[in-house]
Amino acid sequence: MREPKKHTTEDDQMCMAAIATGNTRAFKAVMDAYMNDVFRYSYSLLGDAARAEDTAQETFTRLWTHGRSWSPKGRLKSWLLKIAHNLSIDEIRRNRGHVTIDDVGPVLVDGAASPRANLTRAESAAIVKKALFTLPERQRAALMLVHYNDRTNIEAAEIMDVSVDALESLLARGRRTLRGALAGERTNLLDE
Amino acid sequence: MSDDIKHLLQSVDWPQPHADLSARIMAAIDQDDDSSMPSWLVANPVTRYALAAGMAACLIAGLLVGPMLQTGSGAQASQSFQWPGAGIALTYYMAS
Repeated sequence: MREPKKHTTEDDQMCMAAIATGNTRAFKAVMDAYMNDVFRYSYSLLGDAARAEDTAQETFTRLWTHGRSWSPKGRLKSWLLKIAHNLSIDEIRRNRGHVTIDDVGPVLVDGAASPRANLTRAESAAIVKKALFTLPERQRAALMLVHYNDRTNIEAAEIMDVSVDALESLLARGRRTLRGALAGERTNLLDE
Repeated sequence: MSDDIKHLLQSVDWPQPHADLSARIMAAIDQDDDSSMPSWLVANPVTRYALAAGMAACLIAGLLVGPMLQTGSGAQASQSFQWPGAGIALTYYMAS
């Protein structure tokens, strides 16, 4: 699937105003823009694509039914990630002990690089993914929000409903744990 | 250091949602809309308040016009029924 066009703040505001009047085309545009972000964030917490899809579906259904409560002061992506975060945490609590990572095996990547380079990259990606899922979910969430979804520390703290100090602590521990887990797997990953 | 982590996270082969997920969500919200009032009616504050005002006007008109249309023993029976009904409604309102 191709990565969607990035929405600007103005795009978000126009779409949300239209969604408040029941405009399904605006809703579809928002879904196209943020579906991958919401799905991947949920997946990074749940480790299960089917459950991440359910969470993404519920997140966007709530956007449709509660979209009027969105404040134009905040960023729409952060608002969606907060809904997805809360739904994912609820799901984890309901299924405590059943968190598994599906599909961690190496996948060959299409591209111009040699088969050997592709295999190495795919192996490395699988190792990183496996190491990421050894982290406690709060550390994983903090890393994904700040380093993958480009949220500021303040936004990430708001999404996770923690203080900025607590978020920074989670980030520091998450980075340290991830590096430790990767060091045990392959020492040169961080130097690539 | 943060660039390292960003690079690592971006290197992961994240799965994609099914191609029909958006279509499923669109179908779900369409179904919800079919089973209730149109979303433009509920979502738009103007139409929502107009709807509430219309319902209130109908209720008041019914209370005012209803007794005037009733005559004879039917009116007495109706009034004797209305007072306890009003009392129960008032009690319920005060209690809630």
